[in-house]
Parts: sequence; C-alpha cells; structure tokens
Amino acid sequence: MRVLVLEDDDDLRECMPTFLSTIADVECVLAGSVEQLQEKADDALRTDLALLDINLGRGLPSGVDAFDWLLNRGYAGRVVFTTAHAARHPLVAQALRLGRATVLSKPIPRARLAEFLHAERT
Amino acid sequence: MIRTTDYPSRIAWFSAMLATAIGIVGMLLELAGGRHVLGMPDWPAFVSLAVSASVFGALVAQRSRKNIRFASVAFVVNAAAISFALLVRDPYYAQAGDWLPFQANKLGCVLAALLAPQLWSALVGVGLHTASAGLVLASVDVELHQQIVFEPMGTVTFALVGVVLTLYRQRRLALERHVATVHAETVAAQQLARISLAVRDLANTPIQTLELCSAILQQRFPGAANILALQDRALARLTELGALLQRYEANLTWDHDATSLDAVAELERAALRP
Repeated sequence: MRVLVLEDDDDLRECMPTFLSTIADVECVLAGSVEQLQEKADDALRTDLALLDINLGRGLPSGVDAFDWLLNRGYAGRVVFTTAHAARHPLVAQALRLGRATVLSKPIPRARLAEFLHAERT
Repeated sequence: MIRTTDYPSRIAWFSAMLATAIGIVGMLLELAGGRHVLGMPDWPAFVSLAVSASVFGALVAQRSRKNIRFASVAFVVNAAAISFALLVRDPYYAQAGDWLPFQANKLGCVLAALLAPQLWSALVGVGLHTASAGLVLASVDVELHQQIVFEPMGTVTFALVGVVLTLYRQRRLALERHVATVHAETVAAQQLARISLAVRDLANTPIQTLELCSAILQQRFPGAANILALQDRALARLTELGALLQRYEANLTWDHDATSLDAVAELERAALRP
C-alpha cells in the first residue's frame, strides 16, 4: 500500500512512515511542501491514501491547494486532511466543504490513524 | 493606542476644558459689555477670569491623569466663579436699564446640562446659575423688579430644561460607558481566544510526533511498556489541555486575513499589546 504524506513539520514527517509501517506494509511518499509534492508528481499520484497537512506555513500553498492539484491530475486515492488548527479556521472550513476529503485534528489518536489504514487495505 | 475604557474620562476632561474655555471667552465679552455701565465693578469679572484660567491650567497640567471626579470639581468651581461675577454685576445692568435679564445665567444652565462631567456637577451648575439670578432678582428695588418681565419664570424654565437635558445626557453617557465596557471585554476575549488557539496550534504537531514515537517505541521495546504508559498518560493530559483551550474558539471571530494565521506571530503580537 502506498501513502502520500504532505507535512511541513520535519520531525512528524520523518516518524510518520515508521509508525505506519508498524500497522501495515506501507510505502510512503514524503513531501514538506506543495512544491516538493509537484517534484514527486509521478510517485504521489500513484498512492492509495494521501495525508495532507492543511497549514504548510504562512504565505505558502496549503494542503487544500495540494488537494486541488491532485484532483486536477486525476488522483484516485482517498484524501485525509490533518490540521493543528482550530476547527473553525477558514482553511479548515474550506477543507471540510470539499466533501470528498476527511479532516482530522491533531493530535490524531494512533488508533484512528490505524483505522484509516486498515479501511484502505480492505 | 486609546483604550475604550478611557473614553468616559476623556469625554469628561474635554467637557470640563471646553466649559472653562467658554467661561473665559464669555467673561471677556461680559467685561467688554459692561464698560458703558455706570459704576460697574470690573473686579468680579477679573476674579472669574482668574479662577477659570487657573482651572483650565490645572486641567491641562493633569491631562495625563484624567479623572472624572477632578473634572467635575473643576467644572463646578468654574461655574461658581461665573455665577459669583454675574451676581455682583447684574444689579448694575438692572439699574442701567435696557437689559435682557439673566441671559448669561440661562446660557449657563444649558451649558451645565450639556458639558458637566457628572450628574451632580450638572445639577450644582444649574443650581448656581439659577440661584445667582434669584438672588439678583431679590436684591433689586421693587420698581426695577416690576420692569423685569418674564422673571423669575424665564430663568426657572431654563433651569428645568437644564435638569431634563442633564438627566437625558447622563442616561446616554451611562449607555455609552456600558457599550465601551462591553467592547473592551469583547476585545479582551478575542485576544485570549487567539492566544489560546496559537498555543494549541503550536503544541498540537509536536504532541502528534510524540504520540507516534510512543507507538513506535512500544512495538520495538515491549519491556519498556510501563515507562511508555507513563509517557502516554502525560500525552493524554496534554491532549486534554488542548481540548480545554479549544473552548475559547467559540469567542473568536475570524477575519479574511486569518487564513494566514501564524501562531508564533500571534503570540509575539500579544506580548507587545498593553
């Protein structure tokens, strides 16, 4: 199973693949920004699940922009937004309106992440 | 930066300064107008001018420590000085004839209603101007008294209008103070909400990292389960803290620029706020 992880926090981005591998046989594509995501377009578009951090830094393209970019290129996998922001933050509200994606607030319990992974496998 | 809670004292201070300035200008006109009246003493006008100028100077000197009570006392002292000058000088106008009686007193009643910083100072101001006119009326000769038409009813009417205006204005000022207080509380609640959310935003990603690392360590080091359980409990408490801070989110109004909310910048801005 392939998972795209778009996360601007270096530590979280580094430990996410190790954690996911404790749950399932996972191959991760890592990106710290939308620009890095675009550089890895081929690998990213072949993933089954995308974990997109919404806020990728002030003034930078957000996870919502990454979602639009993926959809425009025919991304067929499941999309989960992750956010440390408040639920009523405009960017989070925008992500919630997208419908096709799920929004999870950090810190996401490990059991919840495991549920998503298992659901994708089945 | 002007705090909304400062508005009442600022308004009171401005009103007292305006009243003393009007007192100075009015007394200069009064002084000029009385020049042609035979035997008219100038000293009451000069005393009034000196008092008004002193009060104005005191208000300017104390402007950095605005205080409503001080402004009220200043207003009453100024009104007393003007009333005293009119009390001494008006009988000379009455003796000279061709006099529109108590115009300054009537104007004083209206100005007290419009400018006095507090209810008591407005009522005292109206009372001083009315009493001054009444004493003058009582002191003039019976023959002159009969020549003064529409008095004391004219002055009493202005005094009553002054009282009604005072009550209306004080009610409006009380409402403005209430609105200013509510506004200040709303601003404080917004600031607290933004700070709380900024703290939560900064903490959530590191907590997520700790959460995942804890899971990884549990799998790799089963022997350390007891220690890792302690870490999990600590993480759970930090997560609960985040949930508590989330309650402040209800007080927050997001503006259009909030899409670029930067938690660090928000905390730095909060530290600079007075």
